[in-house]
Amino acid sequence: MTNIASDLQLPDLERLAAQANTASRPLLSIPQHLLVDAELRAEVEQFLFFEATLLDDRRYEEWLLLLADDIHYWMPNRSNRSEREVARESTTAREFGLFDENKRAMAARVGQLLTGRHWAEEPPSRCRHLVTNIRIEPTVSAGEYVVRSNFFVYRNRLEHTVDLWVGERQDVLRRLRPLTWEIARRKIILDQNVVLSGNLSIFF
Amino acid sequence: MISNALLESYVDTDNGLISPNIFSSQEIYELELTRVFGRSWLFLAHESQIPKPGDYFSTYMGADPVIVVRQKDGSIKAFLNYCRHRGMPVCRSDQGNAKAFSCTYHGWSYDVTGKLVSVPNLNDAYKNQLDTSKWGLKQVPRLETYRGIVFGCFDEAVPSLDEYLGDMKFHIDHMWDRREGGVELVGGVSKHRISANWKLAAEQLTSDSYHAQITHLSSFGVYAPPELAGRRDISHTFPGDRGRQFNSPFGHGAGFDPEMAIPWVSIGGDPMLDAYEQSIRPEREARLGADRAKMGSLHASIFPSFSWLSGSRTCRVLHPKGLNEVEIWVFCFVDKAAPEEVKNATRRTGQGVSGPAGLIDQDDGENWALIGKSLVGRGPQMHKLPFNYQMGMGQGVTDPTFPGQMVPHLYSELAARSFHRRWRDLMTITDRWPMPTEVTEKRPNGAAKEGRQQ
Repeated sequence: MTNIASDLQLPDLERLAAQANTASRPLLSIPQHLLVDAELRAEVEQFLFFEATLLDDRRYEEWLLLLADDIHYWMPNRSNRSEREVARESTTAREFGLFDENKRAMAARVGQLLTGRHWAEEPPSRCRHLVTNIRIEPTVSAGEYVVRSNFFVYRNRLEHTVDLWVGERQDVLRRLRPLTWEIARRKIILDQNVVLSGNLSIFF
Repeated sequence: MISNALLESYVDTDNGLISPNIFSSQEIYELELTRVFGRSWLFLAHESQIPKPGDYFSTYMGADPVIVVRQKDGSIKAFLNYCRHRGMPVCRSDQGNAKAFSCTYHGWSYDVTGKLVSVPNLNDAYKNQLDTSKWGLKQVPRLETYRGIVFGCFDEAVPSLDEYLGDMKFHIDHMWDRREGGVELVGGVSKHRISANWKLAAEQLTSDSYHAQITHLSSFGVYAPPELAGRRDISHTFPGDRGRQFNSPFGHGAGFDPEMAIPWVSIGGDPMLDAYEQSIRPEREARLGADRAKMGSLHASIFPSFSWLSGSRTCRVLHPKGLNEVEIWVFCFVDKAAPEEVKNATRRTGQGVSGPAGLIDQDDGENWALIGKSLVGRGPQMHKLPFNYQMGMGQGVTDPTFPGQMVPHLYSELAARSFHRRWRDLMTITDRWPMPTEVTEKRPNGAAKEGRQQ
């Protein structure tokens, strides 16, 4: 049997170096479709910041109003896979993930928080959602945009329980009318394999 | 080293008193990795996760990482995931398919049978003086399966899996063999960590339906069937005095209701799943018998660390990660013969309530972590006060319909006492594999009722 050193595919360092140094190198530009007009960008950003405010201020009932009736709120599991099988690192929509919710299920989650008997959030945690790296792509549907953003969520609970979650959200946002948007789809890519918090009792 | 007398005083099952020390002593934790996890049948995987030769699943047996691998002949082997040269893990993926496991430190490679097949510089540096036949991966010596569930044990002296499971097979079959072909696991494992001793989670899953009406109070309005929506009194959703708690002298436990239709713990219910249950009723009756077919299972656990909740079709394995740290892995199982849309609805239902984001599991994690916080403080006053495990003492009965000893109420700590008795015997009897005997409990005496101080 060959050992793992014997079938190494050496990258073409000459080509990589040449590309980085010559005038003929292919220039990589920001994808054109990410350049949306400033007014749209401002509105999308303000929508996401407004949404984060509702969550941080525990205004869950209002937050629920931002979710479309056909929402799919989904957080897959992430596994460690060898380089050859890395395409399977995220669970598919038909595999066992962390969230896979429709509107009714999201209403149930909000309802659970509003009982005041949901001990994982009672007394309520202190949460802060930082939303950055917002990328907006128009879609073929007018008023519908694929919006990717990164998040950093800090939760401080009881005396000294601290949880940190970092990841990306891939949203489909719908503009219903000026200044009014809804979230039609949210895929949350949490950058953890083993979820390091005792639970995920907040929203992302 | 901690004496047997002290360990025995900590686990006073005759009086239903257990010392907080068993959850908070570092010395006890290190001993139980060897004496409990080293000598019990532990869940490794389900056969459906590794169908093809070379398919593997990475997991743990207590604190030791292992790889479970399907062999070319269809059998299954498990190996410690340590290179024999310096202890590096030879597999760093959670699952996949491999022809070999190669250490990325110095390149020692092992085939799927565990044989050491490649050592760089064997000729020149070792001068061929390394006997590679002696340096294969360490194989888990005992590996047996029941209903597709793969168990392993490090102790050669452990009784057969069949004997170890004993009466518990009645409850396993109820969920894992109710249809032709049994079950399969859905792809994807939810893993999360809780800062608590593993036994807090294990004893709950073995013996505790009592907590649900309070711990999961906020969940009930959410997953109750529509006809119960808005009702404030949720106690009737649990069949307390109609239910039973089964216990096994091997430390297994289960809670069930002899009369309940299969409960689905789902958000608002799912008519498709209800219709499916109706449609398979004749098959279930034929396979399980009429009495077991109408029985509703709530929770079931195999000592020490593998359990399932029938209402969500999810199973759990607990991996200790330190005295006050446990990792919970949640899998979803579905009838193999079910239509794809039923499998998918089952998965979605299980996911909604289980795992770190599950409506129900969220609140369990909070409890265990808060008890964990109390315990790791090592408060000397706290440690003078034993915990009360007296519910259902002296109420054990037998029933010709169901195997084993049980208490005729869903709420009992009978199985928790059996769990801790088993734990205590494994911790204190080290010169042989301790075969358990059935215990007939007495009602607690006056001193025990008052919770005498230890």
